[in-house]
Amino acid sequence: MDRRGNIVQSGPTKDFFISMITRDISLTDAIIELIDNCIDGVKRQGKEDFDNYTIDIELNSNFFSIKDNCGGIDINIAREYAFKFGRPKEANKDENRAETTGTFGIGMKRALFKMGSHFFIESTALNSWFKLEIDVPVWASDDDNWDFEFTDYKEGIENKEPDCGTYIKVTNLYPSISNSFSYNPYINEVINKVKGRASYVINNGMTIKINNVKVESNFLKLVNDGFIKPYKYTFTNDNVAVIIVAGLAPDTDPAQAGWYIYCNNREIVAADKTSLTTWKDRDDDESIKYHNDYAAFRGFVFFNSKFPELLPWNTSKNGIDSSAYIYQTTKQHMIDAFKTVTGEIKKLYSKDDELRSEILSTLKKSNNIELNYYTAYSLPENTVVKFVDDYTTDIQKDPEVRIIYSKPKSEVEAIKQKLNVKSNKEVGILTFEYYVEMEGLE
Amino acid sequence: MPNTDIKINYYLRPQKSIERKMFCHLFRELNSIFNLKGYRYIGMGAKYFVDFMVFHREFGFNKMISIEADKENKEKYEFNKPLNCIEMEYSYSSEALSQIDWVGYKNNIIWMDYDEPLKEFMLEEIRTIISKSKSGSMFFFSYNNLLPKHVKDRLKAFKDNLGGYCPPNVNNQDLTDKNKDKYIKQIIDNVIDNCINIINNSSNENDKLFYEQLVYFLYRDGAEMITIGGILLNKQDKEKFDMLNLSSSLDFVVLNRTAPPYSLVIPPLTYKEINALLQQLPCTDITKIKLPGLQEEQLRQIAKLYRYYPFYMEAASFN
Repeated sequence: MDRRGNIVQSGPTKDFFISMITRDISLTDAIIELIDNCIDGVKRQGKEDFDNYTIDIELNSNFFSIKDNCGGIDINIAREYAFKFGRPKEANKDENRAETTGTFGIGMKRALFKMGSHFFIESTALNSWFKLEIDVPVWASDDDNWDFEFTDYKEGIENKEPDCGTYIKVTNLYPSISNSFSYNPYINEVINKVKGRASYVINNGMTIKINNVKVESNFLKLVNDGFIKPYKYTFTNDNVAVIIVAGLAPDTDPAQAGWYIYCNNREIVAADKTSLTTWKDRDDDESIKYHNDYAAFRGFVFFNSKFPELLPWNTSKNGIDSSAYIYQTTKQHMIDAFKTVTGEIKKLYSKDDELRSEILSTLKKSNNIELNYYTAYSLPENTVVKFVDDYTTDIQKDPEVRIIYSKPKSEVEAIKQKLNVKSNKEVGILTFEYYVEMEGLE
Repeated sequence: MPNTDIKINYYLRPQKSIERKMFCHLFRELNSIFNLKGYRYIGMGAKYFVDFMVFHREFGFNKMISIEADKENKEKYEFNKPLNCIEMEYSYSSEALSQIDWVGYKNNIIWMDYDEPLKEFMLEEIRTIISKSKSGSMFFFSYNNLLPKHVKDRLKAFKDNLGGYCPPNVNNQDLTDKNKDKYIKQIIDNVIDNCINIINNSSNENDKLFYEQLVYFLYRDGAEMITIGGILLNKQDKEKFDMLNLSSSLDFVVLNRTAPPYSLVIPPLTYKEINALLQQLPCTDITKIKLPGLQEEQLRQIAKLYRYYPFYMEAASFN
């Protein structure tokens, strides 16, 4: 160790470092981080469809493992970048950029350190193969040497593409981690989160299995029919492409209402109803406070860039850096989209109950799209969302009224038999039509 | 849950009665290390309050709470409440458990006697109970063990009932009659262990809790039911508990958490049959028992349970 008189030591101890980097990532996000690494592996190969790619995750009280065939880590990348804490500047000059989620150079390491104190990594790339085993207490006992050593490696070899992939296993899990990994509700939580975060690749052919259960894709729906088209606005700013889509969901589940924000297809914010997006948190604010009348509102923002460091996410990738310039620019367009859609919703709720429930049931029955980056991308741009007035005028040409009456059950049943129908409603309509026809009123 | 008392006459359930007697034997043993008189009993007495009467008589619990979801018929329960020390808590069990006083009463015997199949809310209640319980407290819960008749219909019903607690890789095979008991038990144990581990993670060595399973009954008075439960012990109490060596004194105690349920299923018997059987019991070789019309398996159950078997006689309660 350097002991010159004018030196004041400020380098971190490894124990401090480990405790800091693992503290602000949730366990589930750590798993998502590792899945994102696999997905990035496919993206870096310039692949658009994910058929034949598989990510296999196993978690239990003893270990965590993740195995993929997504290309593997080349030994030189492993030497220079992949295991380095923080992303070296030269890594960003890489010409083979893709819209990846890996950006800060901390995700994988942080995820592994979070779970346990022993990791094993084996990776086969096109021209190399290596094994790496790290026993954290041993590694942490020396504060000066931060390097890892390959347990074994080969380079200058040729491997077939389908054989390329990475296997990671974490053992000596920390007690609270082991307790979660063996708990059914936790495993279900992981599956649901992966569903939210990786549905777009699953939909494009990727297979993700968690404890041997295949994760199915699951997208939110937006009404996209003749009378109502989603709002869509796109722009590009400093190498970041932004798509904003907002509209009405066919269902009105308040838990799903709000904004969804994605950075390079990774879901960062879900169902947000706070001032982070376009709502207000308190009454003294100008904008709209969330209310269940707005339960059908869904907004989506997709930030995509080959320079992931330009995206407005935090390092845990579970929140938006609201001070980022790109987010501030985007927020204005989100507000516009929001006002347009919620304006119609307000109009809808100013109508009487009967008309409103009729419009809502029309929304339920209308055509819709499952929203993800690809469907959002192919939607036409549109900043006009109007349906309440049109709907009302349509109806006003010959407005419909509701008739409610009661009759003895035995009589109604007898008519049902005669008309060969099952519901009381049909009896009402058909007997009405019968009268109109018999009296020649049409 | 409301109105089960109309469907079943609680006085005439022989296997439930066997179960209660076994609980009495069990509590009697545990009374030697824990002073049960100071315990609070929480149960679901319906309008019969049979368990309340038995336990009060045997152990003198002075604080008893009966959880009753049938709020509409309060008068019925107040009328039938047989003891002054029983307090009614009119709400669904989850609400009731979160509303009761856990600070003033640290030692509890809790018997959640549901009549529904295992559901998410029951597992949540286990978490509430464990996280509020002190060493020496016991909890038991009974649930309906029947799944839809056709195996192919079971998966959906099972997933709907258990919600987030359902293992994600559940399949039809796990739910066959042969496998379901073991499978469902693992789900329950998974919740118990997870909850205990969380408590222990942040406790010092002497406060760490151990869960010892005490009972795992299967019975079939009408619907097939399971009762499962145990005791929470800190290190010091566990030493005392281990000294008791319960499984040697009480053969119905199932300490081993991977063992199958202890069956209380017993055929209904006539007085004549009972007398004939008693004359031949106890006996080491069941095949030697002579009684027409009973199969060996039934005889085996009778030999196992006859000491607890209730003998019903018709008696007029007013003359």
